[in-house]
Amino acid sequence: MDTNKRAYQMLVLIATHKLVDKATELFLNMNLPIQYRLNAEGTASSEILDALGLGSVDKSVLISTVPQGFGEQMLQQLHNQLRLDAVNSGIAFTIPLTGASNLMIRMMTKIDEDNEFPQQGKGENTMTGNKHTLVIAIVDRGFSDDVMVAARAAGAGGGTVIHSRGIENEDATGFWGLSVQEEKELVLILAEVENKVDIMRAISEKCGMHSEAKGLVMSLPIDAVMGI
Amino acid sequence: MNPKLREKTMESLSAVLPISGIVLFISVFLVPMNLGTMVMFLAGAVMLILGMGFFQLGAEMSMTPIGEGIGVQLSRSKRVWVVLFIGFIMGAIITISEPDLQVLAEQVPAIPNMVLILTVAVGVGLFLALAILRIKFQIDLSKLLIGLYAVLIGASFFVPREFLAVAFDSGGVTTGPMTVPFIMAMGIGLASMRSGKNAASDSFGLVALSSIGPILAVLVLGCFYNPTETEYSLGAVADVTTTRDVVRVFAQEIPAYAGEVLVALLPIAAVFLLFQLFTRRYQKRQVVRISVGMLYTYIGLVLFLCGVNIGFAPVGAFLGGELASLDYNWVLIPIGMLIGYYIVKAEPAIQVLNHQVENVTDGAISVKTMNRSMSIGVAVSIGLAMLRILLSIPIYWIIIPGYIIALVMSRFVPKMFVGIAFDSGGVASGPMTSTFLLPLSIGTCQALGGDLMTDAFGVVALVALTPLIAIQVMGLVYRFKTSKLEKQAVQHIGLTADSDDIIDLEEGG
Repeated sequence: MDTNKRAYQMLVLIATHKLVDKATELFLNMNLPIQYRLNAEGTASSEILDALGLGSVDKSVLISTVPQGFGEQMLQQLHNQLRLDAVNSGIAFTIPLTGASNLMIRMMTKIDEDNEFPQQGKGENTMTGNKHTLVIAIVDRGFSDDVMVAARAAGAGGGTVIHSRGIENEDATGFWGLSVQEEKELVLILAEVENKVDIMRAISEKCGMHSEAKGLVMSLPIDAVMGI
Repeated sequence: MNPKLREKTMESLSAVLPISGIVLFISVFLVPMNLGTMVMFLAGAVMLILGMGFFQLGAEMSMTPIGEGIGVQLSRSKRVWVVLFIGFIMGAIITISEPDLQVLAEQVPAIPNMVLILTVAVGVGLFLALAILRIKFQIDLSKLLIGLYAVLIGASFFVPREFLAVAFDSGGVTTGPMTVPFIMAMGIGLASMRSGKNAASDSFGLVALSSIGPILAVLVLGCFYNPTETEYSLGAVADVTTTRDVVRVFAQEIPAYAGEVLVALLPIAAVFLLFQLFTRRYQKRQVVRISVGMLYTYIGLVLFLCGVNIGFAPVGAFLGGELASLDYNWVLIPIGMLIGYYIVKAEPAIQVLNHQVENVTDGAISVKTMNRSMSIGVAVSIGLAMLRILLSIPIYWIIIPGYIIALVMSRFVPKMFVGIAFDSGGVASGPMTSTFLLPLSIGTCQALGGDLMTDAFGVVALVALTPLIAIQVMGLVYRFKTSKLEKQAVQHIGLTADSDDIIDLEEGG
């Protein structure tokens, strides 16, 4: 049972299926026990390309949890091995964890033992961090295009769309006799901190609750980023 | 290069090039082919590559969102009969528009074309409605399949022997490039609106049940019509001497396919229009994208069908005939297997299925894994088909044990794989099978002087059968692997009583 207050992070990689396959392999080799994968879509950068069907590429999101120092090493590894510096390849970032099941903590401690990276103490997270933030917009299905148009105008680079379902009205039951869930789109935008408020405002103005898109916007802290 | 464009180009190149290479190889080392035929074949291959690319992109942009949208809206309706009625209508419309079905109708001269097409359409419609009911009442797919195939096999004893091969072929043929993307997407839409542990596996199985409809329909018709010998005219190799001839032949044929595909796409365009008017589901940008996607689908299918019918079909028949006349004609079996291994990738609907499987399983079953299983499955089936023609083995002997194995397996395989496996059976046998593999076996059969109706036909049915087993084997391997991995991960750390305690990592927490 470890009582040390080490920092832990959620490591998120958003990239093409192929690169995520590679990363999965890499993670497995390093004995990262916890890996979750979900599908997402890149966003189109121009309306014409979008209409031609060449706008967005399918992406995968890979989520894992790691101890902090290891997280930064891992970002560097991903950067080197997946060539995240190339255009349109992918991004990886870490989000601080504020709590976890004991089993997860022990699994993560084990990662440190399995891999011989130079240990870095806590407090070094200013290395690359805190220049970026993760903006998340949740809108009704079909409005992610509008979100991106607004966000780009306010200085955002790209975004990733995850299709999801909201669980809200309990009495709407459909054909299945179960509660029908609203289709929602989650738009993830990695933005620089100084643009954060502008981007969030722009999205809110165009796709907020008052609009058809019925959007909500929030932002999360990011420890470190690679591939932007 | 635009990443999406590159992805689609790579996909269609890797689908068409291997099979073209094999044919080229055979023509150099085993059966010399005259240059005119070769040029026609190569021109066909180029059209196939272009057509495949357009079709893939188009289906992804139009068929998938429309099918999914209809599925989602259906699942919101509270009235069961409305859902069933729409399911029935959609199944029937999409089947009538399937270009493969027209080809099949031509191949069964004993039954008037219109009668056959309408009966098959009603069959698909009924079974699609049944597939929706199954999800609604959560009837186990494998039990339902066992019941239905028992009926099929029972019915097959009352039908003239000559109809049997064609009947089982029709099941594979009708679920072609139009039906598959649409019905698959509809299943995903229907299932996506519900939570629960069966949601993902319920996404599949619609195509599986839909391909039983046509088999039953043809078997029923077989009781009323007398079989006559098929006058199957093999498209003779066009006589070309100059490059201009090549262009001329294709230019002459294109309008026919352009018309045919237009007739096929119009009903779906109409359905989309009505659907959008009633539900206003899509935003402006999506409507534009879907419309462009339809155009791509159209261009893609015209190019594909034209290329495969003019460039590939005659070569298939030629190869079959020539290889069968060799002294060592057993070589047909390994060559058939090699062709089968690579040809399944060139089926336009296969890649759509593979992508949807990858999406629904969040990457757990990748496109690559699916491709490999399908290839192995189809390789075995072509090997069997060639063996069957060489030795004149009745189709019963393969089909019945095959289905029994597949159905028994379905009791042990994870549920999702049952759906995927039985779906992929119908998907594996599309236009590539009916325009290249069928002529190949017909050519072989004619050269050996066998009976076309009983020996040559049936190859499609075999292509539709073996993936059921191959994919389910993959499912067993998958289950074995995942359970092992999970055990390892927990063993690695050891599960203790405090494992579920929550550790607060915040300062002062």
